[in-house]
Amino acid sequence: MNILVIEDEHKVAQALKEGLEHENYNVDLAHTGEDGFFLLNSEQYDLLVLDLMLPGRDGIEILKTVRKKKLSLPVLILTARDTVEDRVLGLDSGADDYLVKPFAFPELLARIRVLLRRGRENQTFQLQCANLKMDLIKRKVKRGENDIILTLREFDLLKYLLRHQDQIVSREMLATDVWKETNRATPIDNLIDVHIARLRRKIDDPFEIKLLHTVRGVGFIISEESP
Amino acid sequence: MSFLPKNVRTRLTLWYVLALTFILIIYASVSISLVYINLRNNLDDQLQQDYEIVENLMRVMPDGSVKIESEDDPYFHERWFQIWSSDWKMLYESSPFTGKSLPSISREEESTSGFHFQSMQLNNNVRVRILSGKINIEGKWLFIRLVRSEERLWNELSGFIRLMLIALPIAIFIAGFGGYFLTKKFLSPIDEMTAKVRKIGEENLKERLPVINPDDELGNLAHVFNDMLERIQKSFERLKRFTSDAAHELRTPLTAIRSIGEVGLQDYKDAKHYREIIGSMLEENRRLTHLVDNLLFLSRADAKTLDKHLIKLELKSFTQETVEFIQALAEEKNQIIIIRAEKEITVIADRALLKQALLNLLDNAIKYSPENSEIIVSVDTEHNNAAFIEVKDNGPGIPEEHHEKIFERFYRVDKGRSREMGGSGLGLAIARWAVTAQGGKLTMESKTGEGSSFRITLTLT
Ligand SMILES: Nc1ncnc2c1ncn2[C@@H]1O[C@H](COP(=O)(O)OP(=O)(O)O)[C@@H](O)[C@H]1O
Ligand SMILES: [Mg+2]
Repeated sequence: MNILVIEDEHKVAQALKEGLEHENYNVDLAHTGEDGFFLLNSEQYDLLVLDLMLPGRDGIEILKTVRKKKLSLPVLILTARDTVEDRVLGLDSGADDYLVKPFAFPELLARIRVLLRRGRENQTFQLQCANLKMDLIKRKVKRGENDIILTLREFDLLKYLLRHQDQIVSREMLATDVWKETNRATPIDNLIDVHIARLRRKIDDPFEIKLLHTVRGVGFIISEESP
Repeated sequence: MSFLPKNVRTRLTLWYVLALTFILIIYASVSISLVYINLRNNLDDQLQQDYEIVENLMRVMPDGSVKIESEDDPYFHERWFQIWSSDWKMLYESSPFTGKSLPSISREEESTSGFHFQSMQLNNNVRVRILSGKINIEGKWLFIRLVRSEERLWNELSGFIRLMLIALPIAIFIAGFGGYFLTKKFLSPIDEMTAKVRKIGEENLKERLPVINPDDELGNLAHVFNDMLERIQKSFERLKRFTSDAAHELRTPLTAIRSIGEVGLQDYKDAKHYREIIGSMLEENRRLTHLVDNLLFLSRADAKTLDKHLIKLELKSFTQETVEFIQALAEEKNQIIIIRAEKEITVIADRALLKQALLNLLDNAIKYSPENSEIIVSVDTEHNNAAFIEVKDNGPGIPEEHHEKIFERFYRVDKGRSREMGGSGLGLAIARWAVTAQGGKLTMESKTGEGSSFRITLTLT
C-alpha cells in the first residue's frame, strides 16, 4: 500500500512517515503543495494524507485538482482549524475524512485502515481475542467457559476494542465512537478510564492472562500479548 | 449642512441670532405700522376738528359766494381749505401755502356720503392728507376740503424707523455676542471632557471624567462616559488576568514535559523506562491539548462564531440521559444521584450545549463532594415562565467571597486540589457560557459546609 503524505511541518511529517512505515505502508513525503502535486502525477498511490494549511499551494486547491482529474484515491485531510465551516469546506472539496490537529496517532491509523478497506468491509457477528468471545447477535460475552455480564456501555466499549484488536485505541476515538461525544471541550477522560477499569475487572481480573492493556499517554489496546 | 461652521458653539449662536433677527424684524414692522396708523389717526382727528370749525364759521351769501367769519383769526392763516360748489366751482380757498394746488374733486370724493380721507403727493413732493365732506346748506350741496401736510407724520415715522435701524443691529449684536459667550460657558464642560477623554488610553483607564453638574445633561453624559470607562477598565483587567492565567496554565504542563524529558535523558536506561517517560510526557501533552480545546471553545464563544442548533428538548428525559452518561463517575465514589422530576417539560434549547453545561455541573458535584454522599438533580418549572435543572450536592460548599468569581475563567477555590483532580478552572466558565448562549441563566447558591446548588434556568416558550 502506497501512501503520500503532504505536510509542511517537517517533524510531524517525519513522525507520520515512521509511524506508517512501522505499520508496513510505503510512505512518500512532500513538504510543499507543488512537490506533492508532482508526486501525485508521477506515482501511483492508494491514499493521500493532506495537510490543509500548506505554503504555496493550499491543501484545498490540491484536493480540488485531484478530484477534477477524477483520481479516485481516498483523501484524509489534517487541519488545525476545526470550525464547522472548515470541515464542510474540506469534505465538500472531496475529502473522504478529516482529522483535527493535534490528533492521536492511533486514530490516524484507524482512519487510514477504514479508508483503505472501504467497500470490502466484511460483516462479522463474532469477535474474538484469545479465549474472549463476543457474540454480536445474542449480545453475549464469554471468557473461556465463563459468561460475562456487561452493561450496555461496557458492551459497546468492548466491541469497539475488539474490532480494533491489536491496535491502540485513543481516548478521543472512544469519546467520539463509543460515547458519541464530538465536542472536544467536554472532557470525558475520567469517564472513559472508569469504564475501562470496570471492564478490566470483569474480563481480566479473574483470569491469569490479561488482554486489555493501557498504553500510557496513548490509549488502550486489546491483545493477547502485552505491548 | 456643509456650509455651516463645524463647531457647535458658532452654529448655535448663528441659529440663535438668525431666529432673533427674524423675530425683531417682525416686531419692528409691526411697531412701525402701529406708529404710522396712530399718527395718521391723529392727523385725521385734527382734520375732523378743523372741519367742524370751518363748518360752523362758514356763511353762504345770498349771491352764492361763501364767506368765513372771523377770517382774521390766526387759526386760519395756517389752515388750508377749499369749498366747492356742486357744479365744480371753487367758492373759497384759504391758501396759506402759495404755489401749491390741489387737483379738483374726484368722483370718489363726490360719491362718498360721509367723510373721505385721502393721502396725496403734490407736484412739489409734499405729502398731504385731505379730508373732504359734503354739506347741505339751504338746499345747496357744498364740498369742503381740508388739507394738512403729512410732513410731520413722515418725519416722526422716519425718525422712528431710523431709531429701529440703529437699535436693532445693536441689540442683535449684543444678543449674539452674549449668546456666544453663554454657549461657550455652557459647552465648556464638553471641551474639558474632550480633552480628558483624549488623554485616556490603556495605561490610565482608571481615570474618570469630571462631573461638573451632576444633574444636567452634560453631567449625565459624563456619568455615562464614566460607567463605560469602568466597564472597559474591568474587561481590560479581566483580559490581562486571563492572559496571564492562561500563560500560567500552559506553562505547568510545559514545565512537566520539559523536566520529564531532561531528567529522562540524564542516564542511559532500558526501553521500558523510556516508554514510561514518553508516556508521561504524552499525558502532559493531553492536558495541554484539553486546555487549548477549552480555550478555543471559549474564544469561539466570545467571537459568537459557535453554531447553535435550537431544538425542542424534553428536560426530564434529557436530564436522565445526561446523568446516566456520567453515572459511572459517581458510582466510583459510592455517591447516589437522585433525579427529582415530576413532569415532562419541553424547552427550546441546544442539546449539545446544554449537555455540556449539565455535565460540567455534575462533574463538579461528583468531584467536590465526599464519598457516599447524595447528589440531587431536580427538574421543575418556576413562576410559570421558566424551567430549571438544579444540581445540589452535599459537598464542602463554596465560601461567599468566591461566589461570583468561580464563574470566571481559571478561577478555582483551591488551585492545588482542583488541578490534582484534572480541573483547569474553565468548567464553570464554559457552563455559564453554554447556558447564556441559549438565553438561559446559570446561578449558584452555596454556604460553607452546607453543600452547593447550581441552577440552569431556561425560559419557557
Ligand atoms: N459543587 C461544588 N462544590 C464545591 N466547590 C465547587 C463546586 N463546583 C465548583 N466548585 C469550585 O469552583 C471552582 C471552579 O470550577 P470549575 O470552573 O468547574 O473548574 P474545575 O472543576 O476545573 O476546577 C472549582 O475549582 C471549585 O473550587
Ligand atoms: Mg469543573
